Amino acid sequence: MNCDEIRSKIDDYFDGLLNPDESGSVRQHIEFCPECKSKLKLLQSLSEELKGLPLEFEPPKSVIKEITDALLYGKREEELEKKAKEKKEDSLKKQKRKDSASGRGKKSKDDRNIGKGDSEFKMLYAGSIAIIFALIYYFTFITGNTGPWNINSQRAAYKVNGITSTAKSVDAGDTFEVPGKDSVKLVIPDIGSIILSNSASIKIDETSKSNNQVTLKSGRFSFTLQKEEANMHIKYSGTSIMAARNNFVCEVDPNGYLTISSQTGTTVIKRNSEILNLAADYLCKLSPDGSIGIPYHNSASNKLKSALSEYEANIQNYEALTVILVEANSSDALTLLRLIKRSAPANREMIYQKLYLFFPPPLDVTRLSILNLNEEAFIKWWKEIEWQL
Amino acid sequence: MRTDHEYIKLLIGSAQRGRKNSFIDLCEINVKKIYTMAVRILVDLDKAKEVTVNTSLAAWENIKFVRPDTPFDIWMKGIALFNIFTIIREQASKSESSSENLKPITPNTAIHSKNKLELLIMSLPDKERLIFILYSIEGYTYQEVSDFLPEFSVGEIKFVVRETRKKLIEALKDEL
Repeated sequence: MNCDEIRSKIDDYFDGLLNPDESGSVRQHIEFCPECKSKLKLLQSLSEELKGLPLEFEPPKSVIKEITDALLYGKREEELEKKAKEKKEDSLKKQKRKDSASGRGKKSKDDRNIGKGDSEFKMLYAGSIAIIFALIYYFTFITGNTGPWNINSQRAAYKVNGITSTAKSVDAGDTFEVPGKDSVKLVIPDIGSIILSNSASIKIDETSKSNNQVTLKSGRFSFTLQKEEANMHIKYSGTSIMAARNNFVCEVDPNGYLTISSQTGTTVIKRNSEILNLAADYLCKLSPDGSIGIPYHNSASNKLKSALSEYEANIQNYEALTVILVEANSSDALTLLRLIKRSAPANREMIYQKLYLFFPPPLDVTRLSILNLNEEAFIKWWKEIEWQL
Repeated sequence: MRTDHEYIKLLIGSAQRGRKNSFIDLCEINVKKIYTMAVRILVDLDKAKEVTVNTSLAAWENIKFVRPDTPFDIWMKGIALFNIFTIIREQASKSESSSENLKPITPNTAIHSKNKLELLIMSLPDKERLIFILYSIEGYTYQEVSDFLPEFSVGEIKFVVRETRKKLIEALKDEL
């Protein structure tokens, strides 16, 4: 083979695409031909340079943020929906323009005025409908009343305002008691129901659609709230339990402790500025003075529960904390998160690390923000955990 | 064949079980590779960013299909290339002439590089650059490049690579 033939094959030789015979001939030629040898060397040098090209283009920091936002907070979907809507509107506009250009949609000046009149009429019509709906909403939901609440009892005796009664309903201002173990159901129209048992006693404070409020005194209560806008407030020693569209059970024990067990949905417990979102399958105790205890999962071991009460009584109890950290598993995430808030600064790191093992926090939640008890960081981390539980 | 590091395998497994944070960790490890490839091919920082984000989200949607015998970055690059080709095709349909002919790109002044070879590659005409990057940098075979770009035969792709090599060697002859 001469040099021209070799050069036409040198790229394939370099890429290893020649058959053994051809490859051998090219190799033989190159050994004795300095020009072809230098061509091959240049190819090799270029290849090495290409292999060594650095990854020098640094993606903007917003890339990871956009990915995180889309994955954790669904922002991308909203954006895409918005874009799709804009695209649809654009294409409609384009279609209209096309129609008018082709003459089919040509309108005279009068026609356009008629169109203008049409849109004004439509706006007026939509406005009136909105006002009518607002009035209906105002009268039915804001000023409307859910009371009186119906009493539904099979055989249990009950008292209204301290007197044994056969009344079929109770309303705001009434105190309702079920002295025995049998249960009685209070049906709140459009909202849900409360089942009272075990010497339950309740004071009905308000029965309006914007606010249904009861004060718990003693016994066991099972709340079933069917609507998102249930506006149910339950008071106990200055602490408020707010619920909507969920099931939960409250029980006051003889020592005055109230145990709240959230069964479906989230129950919000609020005392002054302290808020606890009690997730489904979690329990929490309120002290007789209304202070909020550390929540625990309904599958938590007795060892964990008893260590929690010891630690609550004395947050310097290192042994109790050790038991908690050994016993806790991923379903105790809310317990651990709450413990960080309750613990002395020196103990927070250990609890943080334990929870991190199960659910690393989102990227925008730093370790320091948690250790410094930044409320926003706690909310973000919990949101990240909640959907995984 | 190259396989993923144990840590990467751990993250993939965790992401496949639904742990989004693990997937974000995987993205953090790989976005620079994806972004660099997209910048080189598209020579447009905004589009490269769009490709990187879209690739990551598509990878999350398909995370269950990652095979243990394929390195994760290669798998992600495959998705990135699909997104890049979509953009190229959209651009081509906008300017009708660009799909057939190799034509010089307008240099994007926002992209800076100290590496002369990098700059030379980015100043190549669109299709020439695309073919050269796929073959010579990303390591796809001629047949695979032809599968990506069915409008080019294997012979045509070989020719483009050979000519581009010549051009680059000529431009860099004092430095190689």
